[in-house]
Amino acid sequence: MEGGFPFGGDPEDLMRSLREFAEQQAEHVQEAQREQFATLTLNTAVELTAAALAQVQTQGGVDQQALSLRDAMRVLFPEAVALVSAARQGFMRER
Amino acid sequence: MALADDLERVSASAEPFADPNERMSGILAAQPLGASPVYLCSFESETGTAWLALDDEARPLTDASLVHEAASLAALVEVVEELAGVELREPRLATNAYLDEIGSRLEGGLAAAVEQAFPAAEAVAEQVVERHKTPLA
Repeated sequence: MEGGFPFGGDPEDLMRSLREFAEQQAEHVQEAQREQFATLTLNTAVELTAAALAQVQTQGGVDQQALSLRDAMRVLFPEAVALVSAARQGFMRER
Repeated sequence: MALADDLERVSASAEPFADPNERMSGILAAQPLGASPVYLCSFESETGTAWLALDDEARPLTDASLVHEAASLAALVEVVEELAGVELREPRLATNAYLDEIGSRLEGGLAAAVEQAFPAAEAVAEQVVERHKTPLA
């Protein structure tokens, strides 16, 4: 193992490597938080959109009703995502 | 995900310990034999790195020997992972069992690696204790 020993047995090099690993773990945690945030936002937006669509009064035949709902969804879903995302970011800032 | 959750929880508790000129830069988890997990949080500033060891309840540790032991174990694991060519994609807890497991992959054996790494790991642990943000006894 002589000559190939990592960090050359130097405590400073070992400390640097340890700090880098600690940073990687912290970044992993932040990344996981971001993914969790995105998933929660989308799930809540889907629920909000579904609840809003249930309130939409549609008229006409089945095809016409489907088109009306799709149009409503096109507007409601992005708005729900934006609303939930803004609310959650506000919540995160307050932590 | 359990360890990642613990790291997130402890990180959030450690952040308020950062001085105005510091930022919390990283976190390590180590569990010496017979002890609960210890979370070593690093804080970077222009003057260097400071450390804060927290227990599983995210409370600062006061036991210098436990902090020393946890830091030394984290450093030994770092060396042995490097020697064994371990590539991590997920956070991991440094334990003696994990050290044994990755050490078994070494051609020269774990004992030889630990013998060589021990002085550097001890020096690192001393630095962590010396630069600890709260008093240790």
